[in-house]
Amino acid sequence: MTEPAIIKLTIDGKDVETAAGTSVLQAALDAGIYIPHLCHHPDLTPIGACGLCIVEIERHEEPAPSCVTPAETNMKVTTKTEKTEKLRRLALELMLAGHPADCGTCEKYLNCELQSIKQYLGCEELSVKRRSKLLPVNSSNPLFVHDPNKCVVCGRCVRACRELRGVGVLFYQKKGRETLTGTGADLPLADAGCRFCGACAEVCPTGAIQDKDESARGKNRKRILIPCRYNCPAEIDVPRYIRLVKEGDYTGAVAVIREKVPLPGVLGYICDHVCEEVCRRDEVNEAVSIKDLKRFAVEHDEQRLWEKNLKKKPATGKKIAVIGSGPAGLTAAYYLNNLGHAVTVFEALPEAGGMIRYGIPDYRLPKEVLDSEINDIINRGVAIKTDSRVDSLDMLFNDGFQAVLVTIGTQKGQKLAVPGADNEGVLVGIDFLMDVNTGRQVAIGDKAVVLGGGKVAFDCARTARRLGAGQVNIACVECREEMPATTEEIAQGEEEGVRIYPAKNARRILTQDGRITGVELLDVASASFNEENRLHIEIVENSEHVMEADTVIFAIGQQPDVPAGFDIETGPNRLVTIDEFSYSTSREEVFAAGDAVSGATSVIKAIASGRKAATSIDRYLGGNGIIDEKLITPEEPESCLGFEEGFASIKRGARDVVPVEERLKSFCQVAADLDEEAAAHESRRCLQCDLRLKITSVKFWGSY
Amino acid sequence: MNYEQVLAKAKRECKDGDRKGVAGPQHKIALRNCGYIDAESIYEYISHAQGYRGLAEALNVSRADVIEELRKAGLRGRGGGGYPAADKWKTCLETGEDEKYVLCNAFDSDPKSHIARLLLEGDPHSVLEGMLIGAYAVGAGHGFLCVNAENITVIDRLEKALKQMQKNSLLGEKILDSGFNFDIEIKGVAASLVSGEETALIRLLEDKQAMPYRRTVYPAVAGINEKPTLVNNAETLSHVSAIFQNGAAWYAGIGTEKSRGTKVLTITGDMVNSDTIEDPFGTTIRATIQHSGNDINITDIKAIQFGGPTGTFLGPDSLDTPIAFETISEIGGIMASGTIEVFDNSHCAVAMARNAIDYIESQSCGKCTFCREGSLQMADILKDISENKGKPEDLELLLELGEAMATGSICGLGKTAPNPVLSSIRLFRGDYDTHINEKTCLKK
Repeated sequence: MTEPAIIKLTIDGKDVETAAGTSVLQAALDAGIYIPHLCHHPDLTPIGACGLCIVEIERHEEPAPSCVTPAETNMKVTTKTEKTEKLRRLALELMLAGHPADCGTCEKYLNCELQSIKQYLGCEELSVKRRSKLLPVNSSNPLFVHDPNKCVVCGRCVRACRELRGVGVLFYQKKGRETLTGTGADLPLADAGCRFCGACAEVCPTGAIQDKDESARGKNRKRILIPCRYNCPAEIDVPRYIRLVKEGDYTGAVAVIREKVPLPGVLGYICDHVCEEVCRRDEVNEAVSIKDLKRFAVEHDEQRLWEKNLKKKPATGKKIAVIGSGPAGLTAAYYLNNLGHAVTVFEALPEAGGMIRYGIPDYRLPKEVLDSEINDIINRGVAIKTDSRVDSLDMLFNDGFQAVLVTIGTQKGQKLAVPGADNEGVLVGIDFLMDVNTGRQVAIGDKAVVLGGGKVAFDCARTARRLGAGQVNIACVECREEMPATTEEIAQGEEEGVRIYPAKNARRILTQDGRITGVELLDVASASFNEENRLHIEIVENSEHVMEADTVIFAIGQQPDVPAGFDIETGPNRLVTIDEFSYSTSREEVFAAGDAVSGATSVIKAIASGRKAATSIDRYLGGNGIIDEKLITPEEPESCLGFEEGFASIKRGARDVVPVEERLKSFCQVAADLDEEAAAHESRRCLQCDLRLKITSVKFWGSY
Repeated sequence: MNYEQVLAKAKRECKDGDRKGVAGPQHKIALRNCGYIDAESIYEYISHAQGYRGLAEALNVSRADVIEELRKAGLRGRGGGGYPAADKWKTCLETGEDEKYVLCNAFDSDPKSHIARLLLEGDPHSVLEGMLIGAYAVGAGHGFLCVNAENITVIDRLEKALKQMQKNSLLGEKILDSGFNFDIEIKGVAASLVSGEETALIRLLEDKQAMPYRRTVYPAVAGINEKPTLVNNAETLSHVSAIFQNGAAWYAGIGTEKSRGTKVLTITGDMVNSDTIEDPFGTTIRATIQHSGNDINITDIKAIQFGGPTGTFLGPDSLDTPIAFETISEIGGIMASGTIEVFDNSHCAVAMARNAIDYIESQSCGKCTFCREGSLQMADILKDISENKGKPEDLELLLELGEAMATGSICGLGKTAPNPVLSSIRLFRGDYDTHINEKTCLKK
């Protein structure tokens, strides 16, 4: 006679129904009846090792471990009898006997399953002998600490590693009298083939295996455990798209990226990749090339799945004007248009794109990529009016726009107020770049000095080299480690012959006969920004020296140029003041976002700002502000990773770049394209930190 | 080749005319050929020792009939549990699966017992033939022979044996011209007391750590990779080949009603010359010791530990107990490996128990709380008692720990681990009381 699909049994007098094949323990827990357990975990095969889940079953001679006893029809289970309580208590005491007695100093305090069960059973005094295991704590591995003194040999880590992840680098071991878990031959995790997925730490019920970073246990553990995603200003689901690239589903990867940002190709070239700076893989060896994988996915997306799944809401009848077609403006326009509003973007310059087009040189971002993505936005229904500078907002309201978003960025570059700064050979970096990017002739001498240490400074310096300047120096007040430019830009700049002089302050520009001859510099002892974001520099006395120059380019910062006719409040550095929650300016129906509000930051931050502004504006106009969309059916990621020899030592793929001599001849793209093999290699390096949060959480007894 | 052809070839190939020496006494079954034939010659086994005739007989009848014959013989497993072999074979045959395995446990986990080693070094084919008969009966296609990895002679002889079988239609496809196909793989196992547990071996063969697991179904139903696996001890299989060579009726006439056949026993300890002998079930412990040529003064015996490292201590009055599954368990003992260790009166029971539990603690695989921590606690308590630091409550605690280990452990090792300590307390309470209350040892 075969067992029916649903089993009916009684637990503690309560009628319980469960599917055939379920253990008595799982049936009880599902029905809200708590039976203490430690080695049991909902995602792992039960082994009946800890001894805690003992129950008595009618017609069974001996008490049985309920986690490995299949529920049977008409079974009568009693979870608490004299016999079970005696055995259960003894099992706990035996585990506590070798366990450190002081809960208060342990990082797992109040988050420890053993402690919770100890409280539940009310076990303070032990009838068995205590001992100290005196096993060494291992903090020599990246990311995780192993303290075998706290191990209760539940075996969850061994099962999680082998069964759940298919890796199997943890084994039961005996050291002297003590049993613990560890790698074969006590190899470091990296050498044993560990994939640093964190499943072991996730399932460990005590403090035996923990994340090194304490905050990984707190309320905001997502930020620490999946730092790439949660440090991205737009919260792009990085592990998910890397996984899709690994699986060869490039169109799926792009769909994931586009769920958060409308300019993935642009970002794939020039994003300053905060994600890579916090990538957990970096603790193992080197960060994953997340930005390059984004670019690769975009370049190989043939099916454009995202486009097929985009849904545009019905027309709301509302009209919104966006001023400025940089990343913030384009992003907000895109989302507001998707929500059904009629959006018109007003762009003062001849082409759309803002700083992306006019501030970033071609060798960093081929403009076809930007053009294509702007076209995608226009094709969704966004109207972009170029050569249309707006000086007064009232005109827009008279024309029937119900809300205006100011995303004019920071186009006004500054010069230092030093003697000689108004000489005609002194250029403002951002204007210089704009001139070059619009094809105008720019006079540049042979010895250029760029003042500033950020992206604009490097763009200027490297552009100057391409325009023929023989000697290009960058001087900035920051020390090398603090320079805001990315490591790639600095490295590529130096390869192209740009010389970098950090920790220098410019005192004056020297001229002779109206022509620049040099810059007088002082050494900087320290430079820091105070609370009001003002730079405080300490210079070294008597350190004046002159750097030769015939051209000086200031790239020390930019401010927005807000027309008076906007009639909105601005604050320090001429930035537009907004309410941090609603993004509205001093005028209720006028909103602002992007660099115009925050000062010059990055494209991704501007995009994130545009998203938030769109949300806010939609709500203002009566919508629900939900701009999130599903561009790809959610997939359940494969939890089995498999064993890969030498996983931890797979090096980050070398970024192929065009040879220097080639680069300086033109503004051709510097970064070489990734091929499929390189993309597969790189995406495989990802630790897939997000898988860990898919492991079922164990409920403590208070939740039953 | 069919059996007649193989037999004819074997007779031709044998250099000597017949078995060396005199055939052993009737009561040797497992060890019947050890020392009398060349262990490296399949032809001597076939020509002089009815080798593979049992298989030939079995192949002539249906699987169900083979199992019925085994049932009539009344063979019980020699691995320690004493489970009726025919019942196990029947369970395995009746699973609907196509892919089945035979696992021959030829690992001597008791360090003082060498039965499997003797069999495989002296007469490997008696075990191999048993494996084939079992495989045919249940419908298995692949077999594993688990041996101590350190025993190079055994592995060497087995490899030779398998090659010879292959050459003579006794392994691989169409065995003895029948439709039965079977092949055998030798698996070396690291030495440890727990390695003899069948569930640990199953895990090892699945490429996992060799640690026991709690089974919800018998391995005969679901074992290696969830496939039906017939697990039999090497000694058991050597009986199987004998049964099918000589007939169930012959076998059923040896031993007792409930424990048919013979058992290989190891005599060791004080006052005796260590020996391995084979006696029919029903022989008393005293008689067995005497059969091994040891003439000892019973009054000098303090205790006997029967069944290996986790066997119980039995008092001198147990010497007249017939050795059989039912009789040994009646006096609170376990058959296990059938090792009889003699302790003379120079020992203190506390020291005996301490040695026993120390060894068990070192061999515990560590997986389950009760065995791992329980044996450690017991060892620490015994240490305290033997060093005169013990307390009266300690005995209660030992009992409590023992009960928990017997109920809650995953495998046989853990379940029987308390036996030596608890039985020593039962028999020699005085020794304990002297240590605890008088802080001294009776034997000093």
